[in-house]
Amino acid sequence: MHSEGGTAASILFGLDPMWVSSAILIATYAAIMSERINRAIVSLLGAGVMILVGVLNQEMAVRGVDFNTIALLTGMMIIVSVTRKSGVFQYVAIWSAKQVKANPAGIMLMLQIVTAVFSALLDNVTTVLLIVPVTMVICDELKIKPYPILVAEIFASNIGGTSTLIGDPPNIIIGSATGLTFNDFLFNLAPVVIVVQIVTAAIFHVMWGRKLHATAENRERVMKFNELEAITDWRLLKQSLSVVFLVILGFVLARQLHLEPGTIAMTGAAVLMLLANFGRDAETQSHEVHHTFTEVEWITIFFFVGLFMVVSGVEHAGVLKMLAEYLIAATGGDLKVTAIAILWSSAILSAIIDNIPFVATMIPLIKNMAPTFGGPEGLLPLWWCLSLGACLGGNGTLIGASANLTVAGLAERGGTTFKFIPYMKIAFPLMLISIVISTFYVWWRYL
Amino acid sequence: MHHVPATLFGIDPLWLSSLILIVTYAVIISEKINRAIAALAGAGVMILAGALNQEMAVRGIDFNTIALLTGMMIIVAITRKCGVFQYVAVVSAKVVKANPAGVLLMLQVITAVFSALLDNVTTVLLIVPVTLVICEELKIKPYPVLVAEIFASNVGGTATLIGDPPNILIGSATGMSFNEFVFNLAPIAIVIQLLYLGIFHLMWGRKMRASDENRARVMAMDERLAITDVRLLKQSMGVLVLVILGFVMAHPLHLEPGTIAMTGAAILMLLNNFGKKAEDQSEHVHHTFGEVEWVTIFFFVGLFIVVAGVEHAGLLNLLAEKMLALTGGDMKATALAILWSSAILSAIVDNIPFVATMIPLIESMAPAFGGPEALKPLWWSLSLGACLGGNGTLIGASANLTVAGLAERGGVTFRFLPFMKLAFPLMLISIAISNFYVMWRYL
Amino acid sequence: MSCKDIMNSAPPVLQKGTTVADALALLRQEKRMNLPVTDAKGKYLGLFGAHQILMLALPKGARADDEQNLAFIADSVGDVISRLKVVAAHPVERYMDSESETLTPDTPLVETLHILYLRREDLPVVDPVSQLLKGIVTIRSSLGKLMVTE
Repeated sequence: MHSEGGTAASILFGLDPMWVSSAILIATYAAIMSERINRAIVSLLGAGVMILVGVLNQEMAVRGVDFNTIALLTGMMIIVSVTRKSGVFQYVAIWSAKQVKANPAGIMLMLQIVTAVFSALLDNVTTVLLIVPVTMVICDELKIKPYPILVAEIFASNIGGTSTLIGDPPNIIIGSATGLTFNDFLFNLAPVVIVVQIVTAAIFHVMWGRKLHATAENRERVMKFNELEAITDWRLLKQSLSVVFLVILGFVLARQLHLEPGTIAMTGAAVLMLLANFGRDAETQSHEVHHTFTEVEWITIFFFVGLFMVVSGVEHAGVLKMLAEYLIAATGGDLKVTAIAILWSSAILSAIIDNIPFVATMIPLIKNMAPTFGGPEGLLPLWWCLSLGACLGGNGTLIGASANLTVAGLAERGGTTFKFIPYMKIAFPLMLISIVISTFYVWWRYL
Repeated sequence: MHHVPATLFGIDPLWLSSLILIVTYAVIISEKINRAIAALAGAGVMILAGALNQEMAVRGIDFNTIALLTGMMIIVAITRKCGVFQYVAVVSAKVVKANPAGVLLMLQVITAVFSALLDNVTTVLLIVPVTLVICEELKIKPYPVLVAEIFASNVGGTATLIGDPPNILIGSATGMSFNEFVFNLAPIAIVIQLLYLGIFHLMWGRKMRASDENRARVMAMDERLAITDVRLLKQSMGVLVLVILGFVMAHPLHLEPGTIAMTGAAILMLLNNFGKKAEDQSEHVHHTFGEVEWVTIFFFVGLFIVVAGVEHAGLLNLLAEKMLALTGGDMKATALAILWSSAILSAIVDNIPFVATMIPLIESMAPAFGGPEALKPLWWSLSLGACLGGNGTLIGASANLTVAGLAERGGVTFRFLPFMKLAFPLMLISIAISNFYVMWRYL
Repeated sequence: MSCKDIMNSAPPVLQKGTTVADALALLRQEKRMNLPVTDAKGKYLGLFGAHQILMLALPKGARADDEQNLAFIADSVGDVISRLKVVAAHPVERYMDSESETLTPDTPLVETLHILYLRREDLPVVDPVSQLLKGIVTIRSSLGKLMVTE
C-alpha cells in the first residue's frame, strides 16, 4: 500500500549496520533482563531505535513481525477472558478435589493434572491465574500449607504447556516460523511431556504429598463445596466451551482446511464475542467488547511486536547468519552435538532469563543452518530441542517463566511467600531431571 | 508454505467477496452487533471462504494507520491525566472575562486546535466535561456550546493528517506527508471554522447572558489547581511537541507517521514509569494499553482485511471503471461527485468503511487520469467530504455520539431530528465552500 | 473553602501496633466505618476498617483474585468467626490499606466532596510535606456541615 516505503533511512553516521543493530539488540536485551523498565516499553523502544537509526524502515519492520503469532496469542487471550467468566475452571478444580475425597495428597495430584491439561490447551499464565485462587481456597479450608501444591502447579503448567503448539509462547513462535502444525507438536512433544509430568508428580508425592494431612472435619468442609454454584452463567459456559472445542478442532484440521492458527484463533474469538453479546443493546456491547479487549495481555503482545522488529533488524544486518556459522563451526556441523547443545543451553538460559527473546533470536539463527543439515526437514530435531529446553527450562527459577511469577504474585496476596533461593534449590534440580529425560528422548527418537 | 486456497464450493471470488463485504457493512450500519466484532467476523469469513489466505489478509492491513492510531491514543491517554486540557479551557474562559459569547467562541477555537493535533473523540472527551462545569457555574444552557464544539472538532480534525481517521487512512495509503495535508486542507478548514464561529455567534452567542455574580465565580477558578502532575505535564508536552515536529520533518527524516507515533508513545511511557517498582510499572503500562480504543483498532484491522478481499477479487477495479464511465473520465465531475457523495454518505453512515473502500477504488483510477500525482484533487475531495460530512447528523461521526453521551450524563439531551435540522444545512454550507475551494485551487 | 474547614481535626486514631480485636472494639465504640492508622509520631500510615475486617473473614485464597466467585463454599458462621480469631491478636499494620487516596488540608471544597463521592468512605487528611495526620473527613459530618450552612 505504501508508494515509496522501500527506501531505508541511511544508517546514522554511516556506521556498520551489523555493529549498530547488534548494539541495539544487546542494549534491549540487557534492559529487559535488568527489569528496571517494563519489557513492553523496552522492546518497543528498541524497535523504534532500530528504525530511527536506519537499520530498518517501517515497512521492513512490519514485515519482520510474525502476525500469525500475534493473532494466535490475541485470539486465545480473548477466548480465555470470555470463557473464564463462566466459572468452568473453578468447577473443574473443585470437582477434581472431591473426586479424591478431599485427601490432600490426592488433591495435589489432581490439581497437577488439571493444571497440565489446561496449560496444554490455554496460555500458562491464564491457567495459573484461574487455578491458584481456587487452590488457595481449598488449602485454606483444609488448613494445609498451599506452598507445595502451588510449586507443583508451577511445574505442571510449564510441563503441560510444552506439549502443544498453543501451550507456551516458544511453541507458538516456533510453529509459526516453521509452519509445523498442531498435530506435529502433539505427536513429537506430548509423549515426552507425559513422561516428564509423571516423574515430576511422583517426586512431589514422595517429597511432600504423602506427608500432607487434613482432619476429617476440614475435609468434610471441602466435600460440602457445591461446584455447581461455581458456574455463574450456563449460557456463556455452553457458548465458550463450544467455541474452544471448535478452535481446537480447527487447529487439528488446520492443514486440511488450509488455515493458519492465527486465523482460527481470531475467528474463534470474534465468534465467541458475537455469541456472548448477541441481542444486547449497542451501548452494553460496546462496553463489554472494550472490556474484553482490555483483558488481553497487551504488555505481552507489544513485547512480542517490538522484539520481532529488533530481531529482524539484526537478522537483516546479517548478524544471525554469522552467529549460525560460528555455532556450526563450534559443533563441527554435527547434528547430534548441535541438538544437545541447543537443548541444554536453552534450558539453562531460560531458567535465568525470559525465554521469549531467546527463542525469537534462535529461530532465524537455526533457520540459517538449514543448508548444513540438508534443508528445512533436517532441522526438525533442533526445533524440538529448542522447544523442550525453552519451555521446561522455565521451571528452574522463580523468574524462569511468567507463570511462575504469576503464581508467586497471587500467593503473596493470599499470604504465602515465595522466595527466590529456596524455590531454586528445589526447582533447579527437578528441572535438570526433566532435561535429562528430554535428552534421552531426543537421542532415541531423532538422532 | 502459503497456498491460495480454493474458494468455497468454487463460487466466483468476485461474487463471494462482494457478498461478504455487503453483509459486513450492512451489519455495521444496523448497529445490532458491535462494529469490531462485525469487522473481525467479516475478515474471518473472507479467509475461511477462501477469498484470501492469512498472509494476504495480513498484507492488506495498513499497519502504518494502526501504529499511528495506537501510538497517538497511548500518548493522549497519558497526557490527559496531567490536567492540561482543563487548564487551557479554564484559562480561555477567563481570558474573555467569562462572558458567555466569548466562552462559546474560545471553546470552539480550542476544540478545533486540539482536534487538529489529536483524535476528535479524545478532544471532546476532555473538553465536554469542563464545558459542562463552566456552563453550570455561568448558569447558561450548555446545548449551544456543545453543538458548536461538535462542529469545531470535525472541522479542526479535517485540517491535518492526524486529525481525523479518514485523513490518516488517506495519508497512509498515498504516502502524502503531514505538511501536504496542512498546506492543502488547513486553509479551507480555517475559512469554514471562521464562518461557523460567525453563524453560531449570530444564532446563539449574542443572546447568551450570565449575571456578574456567576461570571465572578468562573473568574475565581484557579486553573493552576487543574494541573494534577507538573512532572507529567512537562514530559507529555515535551513528547507531544517532538512527535508533531517528527510529523512535520517526516520526509527529510525518511520516517513514517506510524513509527513516529509509536516511538513517541514508548518514550512517554518510559519517562512516565522511570524509577517506579517493576510491579507498579507493569500495572501502569497494562492500564495505559487498556485505555487504547481497541474496539476502533480491531474495527480497522477487520475492515482492512474485508476490503483487501474485494480488492483482490477485482471488485474495486470494476467499480472504478463503472464510475469513470459515469463521469465520462472527467476530473472535475469525478472530484465533485466524490466530494458530495462522501459528504452525504458520511452524514448517515460511518465514514471509515466508506473511506477504506474508496481508497483502493480511487487508486485504480490512476491510469485514467495520468498517474498517482493527478489523483490529488480526488484525495482532497474525499477527505473534505468524509470529515466535514460527519457534522450532518448525530451519528455522522464518533465525536458527535461521544458529546451526546457525555451530555446525557450531565443532564443535557441530544435528539436525532432536532440536531439534524440544524446541523445538516450547516454541513451542506461547508461542503459548498469546499466545492468552490477544490474548483478554484485544483480543477 | 477547603478541606480543613470541614474536617474533624482530632479524630480517634489507631496506632500501628493496635491489635485487630482492639481496633474492632474502637470502630464499634466510635461508630466508624474506618479509622486512620499512625505511628508514634503521628505520621499517617493507612486506613483500617470494615473493608479489611470483611477481607479477614474470607478464605485467604479469596484475596488472590477479587473477582473469584465463592458461591460454592458452605462455611458456617462459626467457620468465619474462627478465621477472625486467628488474626485477632495481629497488629492492624499488617492488614491496613496504605494505598488509599488521601486529602490535604488545602484540597478545595468541591474536590474534597468529589473524592468522597467517588471513594464512598471516610478519608484521612494528611500534610503533604510532613506526612502527619491532620484530621479526617467523614461522609456523615460533611453532610451535616452542608446542611447547617444551608
